[in-house]
Formats: sequence, C-alpha cells, structure tokens
Amino acid sequence: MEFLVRITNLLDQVFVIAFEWMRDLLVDWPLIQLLFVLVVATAPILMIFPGLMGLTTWVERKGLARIQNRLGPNRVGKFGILQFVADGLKMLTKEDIVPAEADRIVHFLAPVIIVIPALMGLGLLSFGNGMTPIPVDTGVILFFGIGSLSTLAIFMAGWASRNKFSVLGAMRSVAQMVSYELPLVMASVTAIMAAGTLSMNGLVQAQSGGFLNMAHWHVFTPWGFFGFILFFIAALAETNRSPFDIPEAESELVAGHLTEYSGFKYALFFLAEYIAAFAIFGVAVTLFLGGWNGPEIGGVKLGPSWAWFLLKMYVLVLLMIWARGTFPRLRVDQLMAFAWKFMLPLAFLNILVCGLYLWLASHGLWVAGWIVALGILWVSYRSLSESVFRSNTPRRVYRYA
Amino acid sequence: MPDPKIQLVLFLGVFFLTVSAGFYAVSLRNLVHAALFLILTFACLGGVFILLNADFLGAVQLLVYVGAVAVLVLFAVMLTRNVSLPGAVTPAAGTGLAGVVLALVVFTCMAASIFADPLAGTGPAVPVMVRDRVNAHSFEPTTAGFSRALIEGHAVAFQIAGLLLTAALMSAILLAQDFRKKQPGSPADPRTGTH
Repeated sequence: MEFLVRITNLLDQVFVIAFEWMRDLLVDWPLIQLLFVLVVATAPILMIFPGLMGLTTWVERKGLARIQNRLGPNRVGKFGILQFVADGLKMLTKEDIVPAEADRIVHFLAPVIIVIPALMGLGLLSFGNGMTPIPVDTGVILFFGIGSLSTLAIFMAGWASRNKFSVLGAMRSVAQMVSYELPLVMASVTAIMAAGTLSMNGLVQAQSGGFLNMAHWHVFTPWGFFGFILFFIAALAETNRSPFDIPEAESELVAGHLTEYSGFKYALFFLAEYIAAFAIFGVAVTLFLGGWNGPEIGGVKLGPSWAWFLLKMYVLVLLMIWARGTFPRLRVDQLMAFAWKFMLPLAFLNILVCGLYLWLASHGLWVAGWIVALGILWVSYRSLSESVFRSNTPRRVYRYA
Repeated sequence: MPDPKIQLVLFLGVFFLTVSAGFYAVSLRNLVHAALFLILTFACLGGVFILLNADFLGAVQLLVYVGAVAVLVLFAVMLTRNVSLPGAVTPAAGTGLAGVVLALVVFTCMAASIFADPLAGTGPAVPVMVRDRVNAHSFEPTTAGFSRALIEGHAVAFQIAGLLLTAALMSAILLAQDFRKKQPGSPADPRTGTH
C-alpha cells in the first residue's frame, strides 16, 4: 500500500521533478535559467496540441461518419488515421491566393493573430498538480481577456478580404461571439465565487478532497451542474462550433470569413478553432469538473493528475463532436434570442442561486440548499423556456422519422 | 530577480509601442486601420498595467477594452459610409486643432488628479516585472486588495457606477423598442404567424 502511494505520487510528479532538476542545473546562469524556464514551460503546448488537433480532425471525421452511417476516411494508414498528415501536406503545398482588392497586410495578419489567443489561453491552464505553464493569480479573467482577441482576428479576416460573404460572415461572427461571451463569463462566476479565487490552480485545489477525491467537484452541486451546461453551450458558440457555426454556414455564406483564404492561412484558422476549443474546454474542466483531481482511494491515485485533466478535456471535445453530428444549425435570429433572452437571465439567476446555496451550506443546511436551488432553477428554466420559445403554430408530429 | 535593466527595457518597449500605436490611430486616413491601431493601443495599455504590477487591472483592461469596446468601435466603423472602399478617408479630417485642445484638457485633468493623490511619488522608480518565475514569491497579486477596496472603501461609488450602467442598459432597450401602435388593417406581424 505504502509502495503504491509512493509510485503513484512519483508518476503524478514525474514532469515536475524532471523540470526542477534541469532548472537547478542552470542555477549559476540566471538569464539562461529564466529563458530555459520560459521555454520549457510553454514549448510542450506548442508540440502537443497541434498534433492533438490533427488527431481530433480524424476522430471527428470518423465519428461523424459513423453517426451518418458512412465509413469516413479509411485510405491513409490503418483506419485512415494518417489522414490528417495527408491533409496537412496538401494544405502546405497549395497556392496562397490573395484577392486583388484585398487589404494585403490585414489579410496576412488575421490568421497570424487568431492563433495567438488560442495558444496563450492554453498556457494559462493548470494541466496537472504543479503543472501550470503561466501561473498567474488572475488566470480565469486573463483567459477571457485574451480570448476576446480572436473576435478581432475574425473581423480583420472578413474585412480585409473585400468580399461580401466574408464581411457578412465576420459581422455575424462578431455579434455571436460578443453575445455569448456574457453567459460564458457569468456562468463561470459561480465557480469563482465558490472557490474564492481567480487562479486556475486555486480553483482546482478548492475542488479536491472529499469522498473519492470527487465529492467537492463543482459539477456535483445544483448551481455547478447548471452552470456547467450553460458554460458548455456558450463555449460551443464562442468557438463557432456546430450547432452555432452560422458564421461559416456553407449554404448561405460560402465559408464566411474563410472564403478568401487558401493554403496554409486557411489551415491556421482551422488550427486556431480547434485549439481554442481545447482551451475553453480546459477552462470548463477547471471550473466545474474538478480540474486535474482524479479519483483516489486511500491515498492511491488512480492515474496521474495530468492524465485525468487531458482525459476530461478530451471527453468534452468528443461531446462537441457528438453535438455537431446531432443538432441542426440555428437560424441567426434564434441564435441571438437564445443568448440574450434565455442564457443570460439564467446565468444571472444561477449566480444568485449559487450565493444562496453557499450561504445555506455555510450554516450546515446542505439539504435545504439543494432543495431551494433545484426548485428555483427548475421553475425559472421551465417558465423562461415557455415564454421565450412559445410558438403559435401547433406542434408538428413526425411519423416516419 | 532579473536585472532591473531588463525591466526598464521591457517597460520602454511597451511604452514606445503604446505611444506609436496611439499616434497612428489618430493620424492614419484609413478608418479601419486607425481603429485597429486604437485597439493595439488598448492592448498595450493592458501591458503597461501589468508591468506596473497591477495584474488584475491589466486583465480587466484586456477584457473590457479589447473584448468589448474594440468590437463596438469596429461596428461603428462598419456603419459609416464608404468605409470598405479603398479611398475612404476619416470623416473627422480637419478637426485637428480641436482634438489637440481636447487632449491637452484631458491630460491636464488626469495629471492634476494624479499629483493631488497623497501616494504620488511613493511608488517604485522602476516598474516591477510581471512575474519572476525563478523566485516564485517575489510578486504579490493585487486582486484581493483591489476587490476589498471596492467593497469597503469605495462601496458607494461602486454601486453608483452599477446603477449608471443599469440605467444605460434600460434606456438602450427603451430606444430600441417600437412604440407605434399597430393599425387594425395593417398586415399581421410575420413573426407570430397569426392572421
């Protein structure tokens, strides 16, 4: 037993120990040490996540194919697993076309700028116990602040292309991202209130302990579960993923802001979209799903913390792919009404419910907190959905679908 | 703690970028380019805050100005006429003198309020670097102190600002609402689908 505890702790801390050992070797050269620390803390992000993105495109195509009763890519490598390498090479060798009327500098800068917030957001996450590349005290708010840069890049891409589809797509995308940023941030306020900190590492530590090291995860409270669902939906919209992929709706807008991009610039937009999705689901895991806390029995960790974090993050990515294969795309007015009339009031209400729950729980009235919170949330959810989505046409019945 | 010289160089770099971006924002003739430089100025100001050891303020600057105000500016630019044509010029051309006067007035007010503060001149001469990862505890976060000051010392001002924002939001809804009464013979609202 003692041996098991020690070996699992070692496995958990293996990267931290290696990192500290190498850092201490350079103690006599402070400038080199500083550079080493900065590079080694951030370089793994640049190495791992683009590769993970490639694999995810394969997983997505295979998964969607199974949902739609097809086979999906199956020519390159076993089960088509090397398809993304072929796609990447194809992208690299394609001609880079810039429209004659385009604003060349802004057109060039947009795909560069869109990658920056995605990668910087990943750097703020806490990937494991003691494994935060940029451990700042204001982690969550800085994440959202940096993430808002991507709106700007999409606007630049749409405007610089001088194409009506690009401009329309960019306008839609900016409106959508600004609208959904509010419920996103408001949904995360609850977890910040409960943990009493903005730092990613502090948020995770606030959720450790308890039965199986899982009892204190925020998702196992009424406001946490509700907030997690709100956060997940808003995150889908924020990363322009289906069913909120209106900015690039092929049937009406060609490809939105991507219309005039080709070759590797197009690939950069694609990369940024996936990496931003990884990052925002990483924040969802940190806020609500216990971060890198994994199940633990008698001090024996069932797997290292970084593995648990990546696993939870990837499960959310799979959920995103599932949503894409399941839900039809929203209409643009439905999208806005959903954000402002439904998600935002519920997110505000959830903050109040969270405060009430925490106050009751601090007096030891856990059961009362559960009942009150569930009651308020259920009643408001039902009445709001009745009033916002009320339809005067009789409900259609599909008999052969 | 790295050399103070590195911090000074960093600060001067950010400072230079901020000022030059601000200069381009007011002098460029292409409105969208000017707006983009304005946003670069906002982002650099966040960097200045962080270098001045106000990390929370820097993050909020990014969230509010780059995230929200910048998008508002871009929407306003998109709604101006002829902006997407290559020869578009700023409609404010020729108001340079008024701009200079206004800038001087704002600068005087801000400088006066800064020097009226009893804490003026007591801070460190050289800004403290964002974060020194070798000595992990050399940097003190400001979030807790900041929020405590808001709740305890400046609670009334904080609430008044909130009230102002609520009033602004409500008046925006009022402005956007359509108060015209529907005529009896007018076609039905297509959205409700009733006849």
